Amino acid sequence: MKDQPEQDEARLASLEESAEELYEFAPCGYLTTTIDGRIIKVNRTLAEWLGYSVDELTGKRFSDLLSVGGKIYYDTHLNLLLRMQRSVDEIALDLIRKDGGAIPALVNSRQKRTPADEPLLNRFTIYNATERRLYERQLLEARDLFQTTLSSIADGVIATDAYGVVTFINPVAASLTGWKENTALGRTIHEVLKLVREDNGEAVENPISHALRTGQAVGLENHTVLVGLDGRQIVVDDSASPIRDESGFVTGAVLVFRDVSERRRSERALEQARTELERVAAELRRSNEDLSQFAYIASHDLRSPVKTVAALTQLLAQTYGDKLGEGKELLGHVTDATRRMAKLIDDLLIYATATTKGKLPKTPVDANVQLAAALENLHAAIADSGAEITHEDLPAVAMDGTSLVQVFQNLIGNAIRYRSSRAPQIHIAARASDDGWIFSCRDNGIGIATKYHAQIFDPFKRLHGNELPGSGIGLAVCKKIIERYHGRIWVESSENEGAIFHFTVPSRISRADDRL
Amino acid sequence: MKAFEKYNIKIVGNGPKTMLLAHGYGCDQVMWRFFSPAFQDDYRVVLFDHVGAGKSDLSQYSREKYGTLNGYADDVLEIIEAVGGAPVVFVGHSVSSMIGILAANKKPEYFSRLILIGPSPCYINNGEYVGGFTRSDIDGLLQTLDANHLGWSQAMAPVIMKNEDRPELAAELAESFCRTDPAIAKHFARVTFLSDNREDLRRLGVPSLVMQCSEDNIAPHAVGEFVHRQLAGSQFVSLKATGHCPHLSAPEETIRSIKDYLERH
Repeated sequence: MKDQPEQDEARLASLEESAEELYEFAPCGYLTTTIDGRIIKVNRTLAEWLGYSVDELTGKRFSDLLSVGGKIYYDTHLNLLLRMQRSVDEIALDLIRKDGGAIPALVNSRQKRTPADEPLLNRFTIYNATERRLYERQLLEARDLFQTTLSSIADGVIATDAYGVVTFINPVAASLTGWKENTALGRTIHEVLKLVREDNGEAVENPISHALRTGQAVGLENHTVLVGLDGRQIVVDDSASPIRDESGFVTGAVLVFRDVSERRRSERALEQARTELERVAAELRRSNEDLSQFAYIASHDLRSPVKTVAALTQLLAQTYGDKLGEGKELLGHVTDATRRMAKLIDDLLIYATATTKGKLPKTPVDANVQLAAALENLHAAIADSGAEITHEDLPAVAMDGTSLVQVFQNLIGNAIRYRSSRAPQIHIAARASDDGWIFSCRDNGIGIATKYHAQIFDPFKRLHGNELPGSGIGLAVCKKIIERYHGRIWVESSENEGAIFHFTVPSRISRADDRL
Repeated sequence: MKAFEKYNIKIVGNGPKTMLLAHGYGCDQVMWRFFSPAFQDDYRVVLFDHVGAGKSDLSQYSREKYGTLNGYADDVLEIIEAVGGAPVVFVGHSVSSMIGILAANKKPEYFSRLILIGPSPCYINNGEYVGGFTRSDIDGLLQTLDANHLGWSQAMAPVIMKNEDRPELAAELAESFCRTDPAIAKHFARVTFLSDNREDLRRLGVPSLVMQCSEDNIAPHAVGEFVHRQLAGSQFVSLKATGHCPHLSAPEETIRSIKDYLERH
């Protein structure tokens, strides 16, 4: 028998001669309804799928087998289409089984008509499309995600096919180019996106064309201007990449671009502001330098004539004192005034030096050592006043040792000078903070009224006139020194309550400060 | 004239009076094919497509204007102004019956009669009121629409925008009867099936005919009766025709009922 395959095929074909068998057990569902949608015939395949017997289905309406959404679709679309064009294909509907489960299906239909074109019957074939519809659902979700994402991002996005015909344009791109989505689709990229150079207005190669031509991504073409449909010009950054299919063929290109006019404007404004700031800073630096230079030269040069005046006055008093009579007292005033003047000039020189000089040590200096040096310089005043000076263990700080001695010496000197009736008690401490160390110098002196707290650091500001010694330069020098290290100095005090002076110093050496 | 393009207005017949035919959700003016010839002797029959449907000017579609049925009602008034002949006999199918009521509430003088085929003022069940659907049913419809618009090609867009330079697509469009931009179809479905215009019924002052089909899935019998009760001066006719589109499935019965009504009232 094996050598007679034709006979076998003929035998098998004879099995398929039964139209009834072909209908009932076809690999798809068959269903026929009246024009009203009443089921008059249904095959066993479909009945089995739906879990009904053929008899149960006969007499039902086709729409009874559909989900509610499907019923509406049947009444608003499918039925109309059949009446108007006799046939519909590939309609996606969910059929509801007897047990309530849904069968996603694809439905084709043909309308049988009389010779007079009167509708007679509707015939349906129904394909189980569970897998396909699941796949479609995923595709739809992916498309929705893609659409929503591209519609929500702030950049313009345009995609084209391999010929540069626009296939996608997001709302930002539509608004920047001035096109509407519906009118841009189907046009070439050259119509939709006109780009010229910012400097001379010459056309530049469209990045999409470039990507399609070379198969390479093209980066930001800076200084490109987009000319909108209405002639409006917008500076843009753009980039385009080819889109490739799985085999690597270029099937299109996508362009991403953004309006950078605003950024360009702020960049320009920022640049201008920075130039202006630099100019002002340089001017200020120069004028500060000039001023310090002047103060230094002036005080330095004034010092010798004043010294000469002092010496000559002293000589005059010694040599001719007896002959001057009442004039001797006047000469005494001249001597005093000259001495004060010499002191003022010395102070001024110190102040000027504090501004111009000052180096950073290579390693931090031990504040304990600098404090000891300051106390040594002040030993006469300490002894005279009976001051008791205590201090905590102090840290190493990143500042010039001589400057720190000067600060300590001025603060402690002031504390002694402005003491109350009690013997001075002075305490030096330091604590760490975010921006270095905070030193404090606490005393039990006469204190300073709050209203003077700001001005005591101004040069030559004296609260006590001549009743107490001092030229009024000490705190100004402290402030100058501390600020040179980007620190702060301030006072906490009220009248008759003593005072605490605080100042901050950096704990680490910053190389940026080398310029100081 | 601008309105003629915008709404794809077609006028057939040359009777002394004007009849405006407004198609419902899901299709366009083509659905009046078996209906309109019967009235051409007595009426100027005006056919049109709602903006977003058929061959209307899609560029005129906006989600804001057509976010409620009022946008469509304003269009109906604009169409009547464009074609003249007010007061007209307005025949509205399905959602267009409600659009007609809204338009007639705005300008009653434009309308002599309203013929309402399968009207429903509210498709969603709401307390005592049974519209026939729940919100999730409508979500199901939107999913069905999604599943059936996969074949919609973006390439169709330029055609519908009346780009004369691509004639090969225009030919394709002629084949695609009742084809709608899926985004518009879904929005119109949402606006239609989630609308609640029950309050507008009582304000209608124009005489009307409520036509109720048997076994209508979309506008059940109880809804038709509700509409009839709420509309002062309305007549109610129950058709033997089944389904939601009697003017397609049983045009003779539909035409006869309307003619009877128009002759008697």
